[in-house]
Amino acid sequence: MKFDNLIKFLHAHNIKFTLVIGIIIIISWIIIAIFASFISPFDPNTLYLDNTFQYPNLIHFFGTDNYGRDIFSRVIHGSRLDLQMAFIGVVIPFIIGNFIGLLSGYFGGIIDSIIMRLLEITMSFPFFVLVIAIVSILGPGLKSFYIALALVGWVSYARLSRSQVLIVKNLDYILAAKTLGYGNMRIIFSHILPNSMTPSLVFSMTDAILVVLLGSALSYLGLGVQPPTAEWGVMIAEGQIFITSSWWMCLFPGLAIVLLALGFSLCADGLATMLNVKE
Amino acid sequence: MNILEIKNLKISIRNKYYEDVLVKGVSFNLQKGDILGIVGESGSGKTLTCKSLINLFENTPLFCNGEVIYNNQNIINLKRNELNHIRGQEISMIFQNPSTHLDPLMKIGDQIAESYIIRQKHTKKEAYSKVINLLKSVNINNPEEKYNSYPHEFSGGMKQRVMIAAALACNPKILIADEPTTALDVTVQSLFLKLLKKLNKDLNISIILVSHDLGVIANICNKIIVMKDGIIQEIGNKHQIINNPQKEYTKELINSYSKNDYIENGFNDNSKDIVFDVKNLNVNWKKTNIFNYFNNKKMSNTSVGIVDVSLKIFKGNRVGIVGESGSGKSTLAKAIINIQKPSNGEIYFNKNNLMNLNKDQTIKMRQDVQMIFQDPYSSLNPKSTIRKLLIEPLKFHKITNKANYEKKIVELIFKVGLDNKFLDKYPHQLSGGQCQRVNIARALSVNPKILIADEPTSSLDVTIQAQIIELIINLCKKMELTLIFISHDLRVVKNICNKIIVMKGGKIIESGSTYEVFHKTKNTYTKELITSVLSIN
Repeated sequence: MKFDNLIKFLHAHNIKFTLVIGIIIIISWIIIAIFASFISPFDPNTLYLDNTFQYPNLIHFFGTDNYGRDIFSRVIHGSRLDLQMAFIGVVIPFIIGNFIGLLSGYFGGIIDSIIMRLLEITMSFPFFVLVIAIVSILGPGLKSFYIALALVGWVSYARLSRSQVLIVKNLDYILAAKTLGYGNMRIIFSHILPNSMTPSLVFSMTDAILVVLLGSALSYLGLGVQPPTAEWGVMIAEGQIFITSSWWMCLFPGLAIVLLALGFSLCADGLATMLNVKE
Repeated sequence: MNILEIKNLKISIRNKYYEDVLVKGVSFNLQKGDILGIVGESGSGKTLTCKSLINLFENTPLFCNGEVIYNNQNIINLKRNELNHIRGQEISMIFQNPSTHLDPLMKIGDQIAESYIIRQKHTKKEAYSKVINLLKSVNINNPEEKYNSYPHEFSGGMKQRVMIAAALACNPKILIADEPTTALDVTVQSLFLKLLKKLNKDLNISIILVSHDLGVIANICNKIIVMKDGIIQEIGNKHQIINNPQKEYTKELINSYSKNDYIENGFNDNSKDIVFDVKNLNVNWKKTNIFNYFNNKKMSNTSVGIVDVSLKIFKGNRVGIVGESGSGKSTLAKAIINIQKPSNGEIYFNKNNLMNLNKDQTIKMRQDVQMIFQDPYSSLNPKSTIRKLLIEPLKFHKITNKANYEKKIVELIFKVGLDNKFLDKYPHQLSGGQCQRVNIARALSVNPKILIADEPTSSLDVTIQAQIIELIINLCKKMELTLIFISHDLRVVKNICNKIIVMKGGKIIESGSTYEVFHKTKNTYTKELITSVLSIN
């Protein structure tokens, strides 16, 4: 009976099953990250040099690496950093990009022209190369990774949000808001923003995957998180040398990335359907 | 002689889970040389009925059964290649929106010639001369020159005539016209209807004309079908339907069309009561981009919206602004409510220049002057409930204190003829007429003194139009509002306003009391407008 009601609720709010599964996956990762020290059977950074290169077994579910560290514990602890990257690496560009896009689209004219040229300059560099360049200028580490993302990532959000604002601002309800005397800020934030945010919200889910992959890639190149910190990208980089003999060192962190990415992409798909309010 | 017989036609939309019957058993006959009009509001199934006559339902979830008999064949059961002989050659169709049904990258002449070359295997030269004749017969001047133009060089009315020419190219016996005049201006509309009538007489084509506008139908048809909710309400000769309607719905339709014109003679022109004083207003648009900004005017294009308009609006009057699309009437309204910046000239509101209002005066002015827009859906924020939409202006203008919000909005929603069930709904759950009522409620929430209505009824069905107009008139009387009513439709304005301003090409060409404009017309364009108002008798 309760299950029936749930189905009805989902249907009434246009919520797809994929969204539910996506949210479950992401929430599970968040729970795992929060309770990492309770779940993991071993300390992720303690070396057991007499216990190296263990096959996955009942004590070490995912095996051990070249220093004898338990990979299962490292994957679980790694989720903390990767989720943090996905969150901060998306939220900052999301806020900056949407704000700039709103201003640019709403006010138009010379402000728009300047912002758009700036945006085109940023876009003319390959995304990865620019991020890597900024990170290497600022020195490796998470902080410079976030700064680089903020400087480069806002571009896509600004474009998406500007294009929506250009449509929305000419609709009659904005005109109606103007005739009621509302100020620019009220119109922008309570009338335009809710109606222009959907595409960038959906994109942010896809972007979160990209950020996690980018973070892992940077760690792999030695520019992101530094070993011995447990992070999936770092773990894959470390395991790469041993891939022919000890495949589990790369496989499990890789699977973790895939599973998190799957959660985000299911969410993106579901959100796109849910937020498209149409008759 | 029956040229087309429709027997018990049913059209339904179907998928795995449900079936919804949209046209519920329609039967009628079309006689040779007849002009048959089908009238009904949106959703009544009139367009679907027409589409089924040439079976345009492939690859759609629509499904039809019944009989459409032409030449002893049931069109509904025909295969695609058999249908192709009938489509275009025997039965042709023209559609509502002329601009989207012409290929923008193909010359006008070639589009018409195509059917001569493909269907009737004429050579290019033969086709050319035929097309020229055809363009002449649909009243297009200089057909030799126009042959080589592209659709964007044509006006809406001309495009619609080209559509007809293309439809006539294969000498069809039956022409189906689906809302052919809805996208056209009134003066163009009456020319177009005359053309249809002439074609009917000269070529002896049977025409089926579909429209929501009883005036259009009554003007040229000799037989009328009234449809509602997929059922034929009434069918008969024009005089029979118009003068002696049997069904309740038909009566309502006719009443809402021919609502007795109460022209109120005279209006307030006490110079103390001027609310708006517009002096030599000009509006034109400049294209701005970063290059023009530095280049300073050299490259900027300007297009003109309003030229030298001066007018005074007095308190308590109901002023109608009439003109066809592009005449600058909406721009004028936007300039008056200070949304569109004028390039030149001055507007005084209660003796204050709109250009130099300080912050308090602006807010006061925004409270006093309210506007209702054309498209009821797009003028409500789709992400807010009706309650939120109505409370926001109350909060912003501090009309009442927080405790009274609920009371005030319930009062408002009843005033516009809705009830408090609607408060928690979103705009997309409402019908067009209900949305327009919410718009009116929102405009009234701040206790305005002046109401500007920009084509508030043109996207609504006729019966609903009449209700909304009545609501506006009643509210104006009750709340002593000054009304500025903008419309392309003289008939509507005549019923509401006691003063009329006629605009064309951004200029005011005539103004005066309703009686003066209608009975002592000075301008030739106004005369043309008045004669093109279609009456159903």
